[in-house]
Amino acid sequence: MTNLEKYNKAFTDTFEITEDQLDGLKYQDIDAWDSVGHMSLIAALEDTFDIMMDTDDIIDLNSYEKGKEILGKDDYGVSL
Amino acid sequence: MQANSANMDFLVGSMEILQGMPAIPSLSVFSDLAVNFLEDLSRELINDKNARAYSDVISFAYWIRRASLEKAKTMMTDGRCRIGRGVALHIAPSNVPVNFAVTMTYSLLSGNCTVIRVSSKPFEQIAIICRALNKLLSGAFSSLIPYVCVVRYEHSDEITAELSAMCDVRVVWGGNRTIAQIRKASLPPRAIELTFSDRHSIAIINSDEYLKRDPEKTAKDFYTDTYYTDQNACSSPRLVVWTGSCVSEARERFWSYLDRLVKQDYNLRPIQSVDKLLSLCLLSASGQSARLVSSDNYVVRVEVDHLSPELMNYKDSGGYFFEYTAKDINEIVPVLTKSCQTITVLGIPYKDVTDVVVNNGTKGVDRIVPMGMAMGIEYIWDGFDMISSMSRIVYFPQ
Amino acid sequence: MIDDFNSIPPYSLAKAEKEAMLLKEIKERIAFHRENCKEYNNILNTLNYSNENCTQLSQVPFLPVRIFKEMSLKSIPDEQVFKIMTSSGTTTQVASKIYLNKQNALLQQKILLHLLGDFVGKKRMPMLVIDTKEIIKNRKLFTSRGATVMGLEFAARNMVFALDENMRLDADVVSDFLDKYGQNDFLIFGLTFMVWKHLYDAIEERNLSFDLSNGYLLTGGGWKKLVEQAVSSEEFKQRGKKLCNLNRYVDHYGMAEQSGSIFPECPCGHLHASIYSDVITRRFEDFSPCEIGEPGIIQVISVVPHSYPGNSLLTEDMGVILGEDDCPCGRKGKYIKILGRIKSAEIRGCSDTYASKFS
Repeated sequence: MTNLEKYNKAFTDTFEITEDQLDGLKYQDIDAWDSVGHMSLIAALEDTFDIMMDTDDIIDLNSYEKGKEILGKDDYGVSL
Repeated sequence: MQANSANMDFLVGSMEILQGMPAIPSLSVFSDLAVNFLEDLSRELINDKNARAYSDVISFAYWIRRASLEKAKTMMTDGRCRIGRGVALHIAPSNVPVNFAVTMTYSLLSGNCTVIRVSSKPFEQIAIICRALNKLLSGAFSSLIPYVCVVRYEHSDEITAELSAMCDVRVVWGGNRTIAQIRKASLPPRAIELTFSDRHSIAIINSDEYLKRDPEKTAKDFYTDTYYTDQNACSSPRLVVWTGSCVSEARERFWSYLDRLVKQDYNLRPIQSVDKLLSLCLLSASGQSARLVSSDNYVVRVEVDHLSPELMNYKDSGGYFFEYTAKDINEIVPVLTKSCQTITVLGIPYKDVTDVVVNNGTKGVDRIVPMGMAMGIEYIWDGFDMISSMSRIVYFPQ
Repeated sequence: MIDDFNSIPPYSLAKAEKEAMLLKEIKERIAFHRENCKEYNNILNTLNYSNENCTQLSQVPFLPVRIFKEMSLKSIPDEQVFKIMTSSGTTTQVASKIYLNKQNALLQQKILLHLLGDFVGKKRMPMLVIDTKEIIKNRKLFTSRGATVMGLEFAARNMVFALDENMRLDADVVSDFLDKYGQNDFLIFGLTFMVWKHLYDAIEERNLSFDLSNGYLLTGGGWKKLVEQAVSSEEFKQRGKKLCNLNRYVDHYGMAEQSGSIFPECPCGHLHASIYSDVITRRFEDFSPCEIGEPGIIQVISVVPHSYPGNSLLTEDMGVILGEDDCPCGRKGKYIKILGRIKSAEIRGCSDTYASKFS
């Protein structure tokens, strides 16, 4: 699986949605991505890429696109 | 353990495992075994579709995810040799379903064999977490089997006495009456005890800072600290203290945003309305001069013109707040009694509060957190470093 | 003056007239209690209440009835306390403490008789009590059960206890009573579950035959235990009719905190407020008054309490006002139905209920 596929899978598994819903998806757009769902997403992303995210990044990660940007930072080095 | 074993129900573990615990070697603090186990437990719960409906289970799972455990481990690593004390008995509270798993986490990370008496109420959260524990123990983590028992028993002084007689650490959650009852059972000479008694908490808001923030987010944060647990957790604020220069404007905005949220999300029950009225009557009958400043029963606000140590004897839950405007933060000292636990702050530097505590030598205040974090799970609770308290140090000069 | 009330038939005033008379009297009580009970005055200050601004009964401030369990409230000096009435609560072990002086105790009885008279006639009648003599002998048991019986003492010409000290029906006592008095009207008094268990069951099990057709069965409370056994009011009456020819039932709603001004049940099955009292149902969201027909928390208002500030109380019962001044039985005033107690809440949080299991 490519990193992007893994990234997408973390979203689709956590929120039980399909890939076509991912583009433009934002925090609280769907019921599943509430504060509780957010914790599940972070846990899934950390697990998938074997990383530890900073608290600031956890809070900033408020959209599908923003998440790509954050994971791409040098701190995590996940190229998507 | 003999006479009453028939009355114990094992959700995790067995009587045989329980009886064998005193002979099991302690683990070191943050042992790989315990850390890996908890990490897997986190994953198990996050992926459990049944768990998704329970935000407390997910919060717990999030707290024990690998990244979070790694951070905690770093905090604890100071070159000292630390190891579990032996058998830890935990009495979990009846109304906070996930607490048993939190206290188990402290206990396992401290290196102890862990016995937990859980609430007799059939909470689904307990079932979900125990199912995950059993799955892991019967799979990759069989070596941890001797270390975990989760039991349920109807009140029995005999069982409590027998369990107490074999433990090295006893941890009692759930209020003053429970503590008094459990303390009737004596402990072995070297055993230590941690008790978590009834506490109350307060919030301090700087009005000028508040007005700079997003009022909707602040309302949500405050709701999480209070209504989310019926304002009945030890850490839920019961008193809101206002400081700064724009108090009346800030107050109006703060409560109107909260009011909207509460009416939308909170399930107010008729008995709570009656209880709040009763609390108000008892407070005023006591001679405390107070003024009811709210008009319905969702957010009941009682303004007081001075703070006394007795004020908190008249606290209530489900959305019942004392309110006080302070010109100087030191005016809060009278309510910082032994039973004061958390101060939730908005726009107030932590140092300002610790200064009040230290300069006045108050007996209360164990915790200062930003608004929205009152319910957070931490490794330091009620003034105890949980891991240090449940483990022992093998000293050598460094 | 309360004497003005006593000279009027207790269910004869229509809404406007009754409200005016009651409001005036209640405000006098409030002023008196405010003057003589510091704690009550403190409470009214917090609620920002003043008599001047109170123009209708729905504006009269109310205390939660449980406050009498939590603290002592009285408007008379200690040396005037004639008796302390207690009532054990259903939800807690703590009892209410109601401080009475002689005048207030007498007034309670007088009004009780005045009200009952409207249902069973003014004549004093012999009374068969479905209980044991022990409840008035044993001071420790002298709580609500004993107090209610004692309150009826004046109504009764001759009081006979039907149960022995082991709570077993003494068939000879009942037979004697019926031989002596059964040809004319008489009263039977007991809590509903006592009647069900100790009279009905005994008659059935021991195959006894009594003719109670000239009796009025007065009951008050004790429904909770029967509801647990899924016994309805209709079933209760049917069984009484079948077993011992009992046809006349007068149940009532009332509480120790407002003894005297009870709400008796008319033949239509409605509980009636008299001129001495009123009832308002309130919405739990903001305590605003409910419409007729809308269920709410029951507030009771009574002119009877003189020695303690219990004239306006918010109960922990849910009920509904069925109508006002228009009951087919002809009685004026509001008539209500009780829906049951407010559910105690399962509260989340740290302080727990585990401890309560220990006690």
